[in-house]
Amino acid sequence: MMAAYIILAVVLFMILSLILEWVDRKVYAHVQHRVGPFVAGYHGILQPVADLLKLMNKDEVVVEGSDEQLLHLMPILSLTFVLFSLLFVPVASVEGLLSFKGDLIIILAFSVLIHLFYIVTGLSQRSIFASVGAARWGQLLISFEIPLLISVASVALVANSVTLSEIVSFQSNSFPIILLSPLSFIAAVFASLAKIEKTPFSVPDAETEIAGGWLSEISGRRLAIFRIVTDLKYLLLSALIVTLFLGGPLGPTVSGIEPLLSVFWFLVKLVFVAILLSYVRGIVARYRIDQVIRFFWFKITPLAAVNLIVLIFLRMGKVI
Amino acid sequence: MSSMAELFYTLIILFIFSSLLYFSGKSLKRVNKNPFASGEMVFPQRVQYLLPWLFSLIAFIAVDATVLLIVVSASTVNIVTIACLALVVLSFLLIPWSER
Repeated sequence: MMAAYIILAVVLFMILSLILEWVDRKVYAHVQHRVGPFVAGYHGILQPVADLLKLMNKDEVVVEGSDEQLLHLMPILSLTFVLFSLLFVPVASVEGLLSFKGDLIIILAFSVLIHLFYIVTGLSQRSIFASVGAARWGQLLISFEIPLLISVASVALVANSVTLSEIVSFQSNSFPIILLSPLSFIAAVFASLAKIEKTPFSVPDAETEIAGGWLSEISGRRLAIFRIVTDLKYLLLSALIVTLFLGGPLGPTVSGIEPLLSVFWFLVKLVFVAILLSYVRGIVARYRIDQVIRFFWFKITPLAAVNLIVLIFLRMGKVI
Repeated sequence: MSSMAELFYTLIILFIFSSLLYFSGKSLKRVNKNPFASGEMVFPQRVQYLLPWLFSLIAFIAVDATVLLIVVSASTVNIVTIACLALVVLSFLLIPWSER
């Protein structure tokens, strides 16, 4: 029975992630005065599915001497861990399908692990472009992880917990945490953009500089899986921002249909955050890797740290 | 709250699901002798690392551990947390100025 719930949740999350990709591409296109996907389905809503099916049915091309076993394993492990992390997100109630004390730390750890899989993928190919892409992933990782962790620390400090369900419960009894941590929210939005490799932080796969970077030699089903992992990560990070800062599935409710309304409020907030992320990536040009590191270390990290320090003093003064 | 057995069981199910999805794709493979991304002959090369990058990496690990400590001790903000935060700020000040 549990297995059936898990598979159902996973399939729903995958469908939702493909819809989010469509939202992202539409918003991005409209910001640039383009139409975006328009052919497959109503206003192109089936375009991500068509792209996925096309890639799954294309030949794989590998470079002689590549580590093929790792290239088989990395997409599977990336997909496994991103789906596992998504099952902790509370959608229909204050608790996700999976939950335990300190689950937020596990989600953050797994999200770093997925990036290490990306780095290994880049280094497993016999290509300089992939190697440079992998090295850039490492550099990007050390840039955005710190502000992201500081943002999460602010939330944990306010809610007095590192468990997602307790953080949502705290917000149901008081107020959305964004009111006390606006700077952390901004830092989390930028860090999420970097984590999903979107412009202005798309340096590891910069098409015009390093021909796709860590993905330059990846094709066929591997590329399909990596693309859906990126979509799922987009969903995961949007959902985490919604859960940590905006109260997750909380909202005005009517007795009798609470779970349905919870899902509704969660989706409304999710689409808001997804549009925010897409809009930011639409209006900013791509940074160089050194500019990315400077941006995160000298602008976003202090921003998040100031918020954390203020919250620590508020906690010491028993204000919160 | 889920038990450890449930978490492990879920991880196994997801691994099987991911593997099935991956292997349901077309498996016909072609092998290229050289990378083809640029359209010209490109040979493997070592990626150059600079000393400041290594410093940044070490600083990253220190900051990462500190922030995790703060997260874990969120319920009890004490002098240790403040000291850790001071160390983080100090480590940022030690970044090679020429690299800023």
